[in-house]
Amino acid sequence: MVADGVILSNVVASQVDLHARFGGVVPEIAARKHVEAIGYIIKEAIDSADRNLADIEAIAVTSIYGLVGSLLVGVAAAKSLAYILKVPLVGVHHIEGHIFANILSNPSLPMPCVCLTVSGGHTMLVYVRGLCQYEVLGNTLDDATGEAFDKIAKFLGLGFPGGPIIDKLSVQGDRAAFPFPRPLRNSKTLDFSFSGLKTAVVNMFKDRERATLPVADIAASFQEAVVEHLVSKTLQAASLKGVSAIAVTGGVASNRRLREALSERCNRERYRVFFTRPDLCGDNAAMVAAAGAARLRYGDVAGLDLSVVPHAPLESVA
Amino acid sequence: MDSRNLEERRSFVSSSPAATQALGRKIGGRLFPGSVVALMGELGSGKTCFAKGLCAGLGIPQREVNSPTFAFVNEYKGRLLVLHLDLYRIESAGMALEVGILDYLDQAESGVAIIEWADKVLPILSDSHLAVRFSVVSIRKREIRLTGLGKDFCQLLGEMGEE
Amino acid sequence: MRVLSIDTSGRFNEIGLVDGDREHGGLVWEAAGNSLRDIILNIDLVLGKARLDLADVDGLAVGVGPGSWTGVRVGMTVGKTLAYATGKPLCGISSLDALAYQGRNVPTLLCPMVEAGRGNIYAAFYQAQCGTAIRRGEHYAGNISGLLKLVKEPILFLGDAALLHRQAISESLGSLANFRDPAEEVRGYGIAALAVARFERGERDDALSLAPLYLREPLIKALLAQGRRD
Repeated sequence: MVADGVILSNVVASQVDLHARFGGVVPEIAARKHVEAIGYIIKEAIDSADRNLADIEAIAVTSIYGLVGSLLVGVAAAKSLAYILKVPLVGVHHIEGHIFANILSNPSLPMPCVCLTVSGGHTMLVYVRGLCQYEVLGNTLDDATGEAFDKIAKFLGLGFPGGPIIDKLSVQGDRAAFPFPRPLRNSKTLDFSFSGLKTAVVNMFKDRERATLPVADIAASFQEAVVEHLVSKTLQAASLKGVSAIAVTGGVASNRRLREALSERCNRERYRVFFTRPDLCGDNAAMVAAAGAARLRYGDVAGLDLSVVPHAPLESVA
Repeated sequence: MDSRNLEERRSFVSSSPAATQALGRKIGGRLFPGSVVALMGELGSGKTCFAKGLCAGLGIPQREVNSPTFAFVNEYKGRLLVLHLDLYRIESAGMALEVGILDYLDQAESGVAIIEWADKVLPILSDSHLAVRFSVVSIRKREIRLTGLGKDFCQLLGEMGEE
Repeated sequence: MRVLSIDTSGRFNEIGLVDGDREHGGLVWEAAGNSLRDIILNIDLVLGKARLDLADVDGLAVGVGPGSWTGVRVGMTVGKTLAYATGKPLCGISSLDALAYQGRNVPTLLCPMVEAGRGNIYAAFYQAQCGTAIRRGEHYAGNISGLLKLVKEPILFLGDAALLHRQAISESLGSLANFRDPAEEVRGYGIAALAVARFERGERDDALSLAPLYLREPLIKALLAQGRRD
């Protein structure tokens, strides 16, 4: 629940148990838990904001980009509420939600800016011309960043989720120990790629006993290659678009080394960098509410025939 | 004749990601509605690369084809509808069912289902499918073994030469 | 007692509106991937035609499956959310129970079935008793031939899935097998009628915790038994 840019409540049904068992947001499982959990989450969001159903003036729901089974439950619940409460309904693109997570964290975020959205499910560079005005500059050609972390972590026998574990372990490792290839280094493209890097790590160590591997060094070096790739493409984009501000959002935005490296580089080259608050980096609904509120101000209202679109590009408000 | 026992095998060595993709493309061009292609092999052995090739053979641009590990399933519209599944996080056939694989396979009946990390669901696939196994021979080289099960896939492989 | 029912677990989505034992309105439409898009507007349509508001409804009923994974999710979420937001009582009803209810005046064994995907079905055996139908034994999940092996007496098959498999059933069971004339199918009221009965007995389900009936385990067993070993 969000009111005038202030978060009144932000309830995320933690699915840690399922994640530990299945190693990720497995769609139908997540969706199945959503059916059981959705009522509780709505109630909790309203109760913990110390409000009533009657106080709700609009409903925003992620309806674009995500796991079909999950999107369905959210939109079904949102439409039902909107119908009963007779309030406007707004469908939001998941990535736009993440961009608004940054705006919620940094109300004075300058625009235009370049926003790096980086998580387990996506890695994108977006030129944010103004509120709800977007141009997608780059996307991943294969894995998402978080996904690459998860796979390497699994390969190294570390737990799930890979990103935070590798991040923590890297502190004890030498990030220059293995000079893994930097993806798309000399290319003008603003796209990302992690499969070559992933293969390089796997090829180098797969024939060795896991117990003999210098895991901290591998983790640190791998993370360094990932971070360098993210940072260089982001700066490339900022330079191309002539902006002076860079925003970073999404689950991986809480990565310590990414924040460090990007801040360093931005300081040197005189860019202002804005990170999303750690508690808003992961998927959450406050960001969706914020995005919805903004789109609503532009008159972007959905009908009660709103449906889900699992894959669609991020679009500006008309 | 019991089509259940029909089986045809082909083996290829790929010396680069481009070659893996080209092989995928060749097969993609021959896929028919209801095709199920099961891809198996370790991390980095070329499954997604091959999948991109399959999709290219179905008229889908390479750029659109992404690893669906996180999203579990990607959908592309080419000559046929393609459901690109990734069961990396799935540990058993039971769990595959829990994630709705039946619904997805049903959806793909008029199109193509490409399943990466298909090992766990092999026991519950129908009698007609193409199983592709990838192994890493060296840093660039991959061995790709195809097993066509059922009349249609035996015919598909039969029409391909050896390379 | 006015009950609005929603069922999106099958090939056809059904909204029903009953007043006691009187059918008051309803809508049936082919799911075809549009259940979510149409559901709220169709509920509004049904209520509007009966010149009622949601406020005028005394109870809500929702199909909990078994059936399509995706389908069940849509209807249940809508039912649970409507119940939570309006405070109205909610009852979850099995799709097989609702189909069996159609045969409540038929003396033979009843067998409702729904599609489970990949040519498999969910089914169960019921017997008519005291104006309703009571389930005998456990749910079945698997292919049609496995089910037919269990049938040794005259039986009435119910549901769209039965019509889909009609030929195989007739070939196997001959005159033992009976089917309902599709024209006699009264869609959309089984869920509502059974919910009315439950409400009248003082029963209700909790809107927040009501969960779908997936029958996952029996289906897994059947699929593994059917599958090829490589």
